[in-house]
Amino acid sequence: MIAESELRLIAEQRGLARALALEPAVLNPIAERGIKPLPPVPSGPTTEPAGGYDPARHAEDA
Amino acid sequence: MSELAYLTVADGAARLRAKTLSPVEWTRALLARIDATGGIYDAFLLVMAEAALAAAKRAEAEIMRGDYRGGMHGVPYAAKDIFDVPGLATTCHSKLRADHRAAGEATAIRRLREAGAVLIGKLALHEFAIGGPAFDLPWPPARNPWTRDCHPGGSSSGSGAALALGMVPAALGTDTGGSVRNPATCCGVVGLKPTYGAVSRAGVFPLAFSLDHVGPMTRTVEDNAILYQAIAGYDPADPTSARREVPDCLGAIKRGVKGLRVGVIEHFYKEDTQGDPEQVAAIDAAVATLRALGAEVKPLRLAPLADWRECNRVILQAEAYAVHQRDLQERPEDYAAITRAKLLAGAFIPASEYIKAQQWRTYLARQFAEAMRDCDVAVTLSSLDPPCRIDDADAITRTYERQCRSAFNVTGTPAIAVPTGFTRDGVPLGMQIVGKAFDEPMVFRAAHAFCAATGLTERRPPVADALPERAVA
Repeated sequence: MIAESELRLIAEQRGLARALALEPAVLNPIAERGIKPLPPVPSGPTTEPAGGYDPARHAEDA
Repeated sequence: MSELAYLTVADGAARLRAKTLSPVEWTRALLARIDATGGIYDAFLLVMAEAALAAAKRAEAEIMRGDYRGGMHGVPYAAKDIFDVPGLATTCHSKLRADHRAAGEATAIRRLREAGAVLIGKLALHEFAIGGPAFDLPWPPARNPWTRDCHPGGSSSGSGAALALGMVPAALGTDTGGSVRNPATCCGVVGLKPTYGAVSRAGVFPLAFSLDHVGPMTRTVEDNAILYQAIAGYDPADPTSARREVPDCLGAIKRGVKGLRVGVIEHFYKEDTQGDPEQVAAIDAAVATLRALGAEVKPLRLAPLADWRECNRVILQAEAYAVHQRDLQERPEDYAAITRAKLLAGAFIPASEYIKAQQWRTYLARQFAEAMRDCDVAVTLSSLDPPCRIDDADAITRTYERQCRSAFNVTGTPAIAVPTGFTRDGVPLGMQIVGKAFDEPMVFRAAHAFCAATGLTERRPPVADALPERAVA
């Protein structure tokens, strides 16, 4: 659980103070779920993230 | 009402080819309908009457001299205002983009122009394809043709409304978490989210690049396949475009479902969460129809619905925030409140969560592919609830996440929304038919068989015949 004050600080550091002033309630659900971390990825044949980088693509597209 | 209002792409194309209908006549009839009803349902942001008639005249001349180009030649259509059309603003239904002018042309728009289709205008959407029906923007939100007070679904809301109202026979939408299939479901029309990479995203304003899909929307499944064939195919301008031949989606579309293996992802709406009783009863009846048509129906079990939804949510919010970060810092007042709140949530997602969501995506997509080895297609609900009131912000928020669509943005596999019936109040219900990657022909085949058996795609909103029309010179 992340405190709302901490979220407010993060938002201000990211230049979002004005946006946040317009939408103060947006922090409530975010704080409520503590940025809701995803559960661990179940074990499987791969944990490689989707959308892998393909260096060959640049050569093909050039 | 002109009989041309609800003419299908397939029937219209046959008449155009036979020279018993002129593209100009068809375009004029639809412009008249839009002119008379535009201010009631607010489906269009821009009607391009002059340019459309010029394009229709060109198509007419080409067809008359025997230079017929195929199923979309001379066919009027409209596009969600998120596609670039040279010289026009791609507003994304946002004040932030009101002064924009597109220099280039979206690949889907170019392909349709080259196919001889007639672009009739640009359609309303939820702001930047993520907001919701908003009343604090320069343009009002599109309305549901079946009940004007109801949410038409989104984000391709104008596309769904225009089709159901008989304003166009074909429309383009985009789908990142269900934005083609939701309005298709709410408006009682047909919407396909194709396989990721099958249709170019070039020239389309992004929401979340790894989940964004361009999709065809129509009133019938056959029309959807015709439009899909016209826009699909490799495009070097889109780095995620697939280098594959576009399969023939029409050749086998009428073969029926006898012997097809149909998985039913029932736990999404009966165990993981409870779907609305009318939605559930309608899909149960739809499954019975598929069985009666000769399909081999069996349960299909995947990860719980919440895993799919959360995976989609984290990726979507993180990528969307990356697109909008600067405007949220510098012009936050120019967004609708609902859009701003949704986009701001992405500012708090750590990079580690985004990576974890992409790992989940690998896991879930592989699970789906393995589960589909024993199935030709699968069916599940689209929305868990019928459309709510458009002015009930709490109901919009509550029902928006109650859906089974975003799972197939995660897998990137094709999913088509088709009508399954109506509520007691006469609002459309719907389901999805999903397939394996790049197997759009099978998805169209199953959807066509179901819709032909039920006749639900032939229903029109009660208001359809009562709307006034004006002549367009």
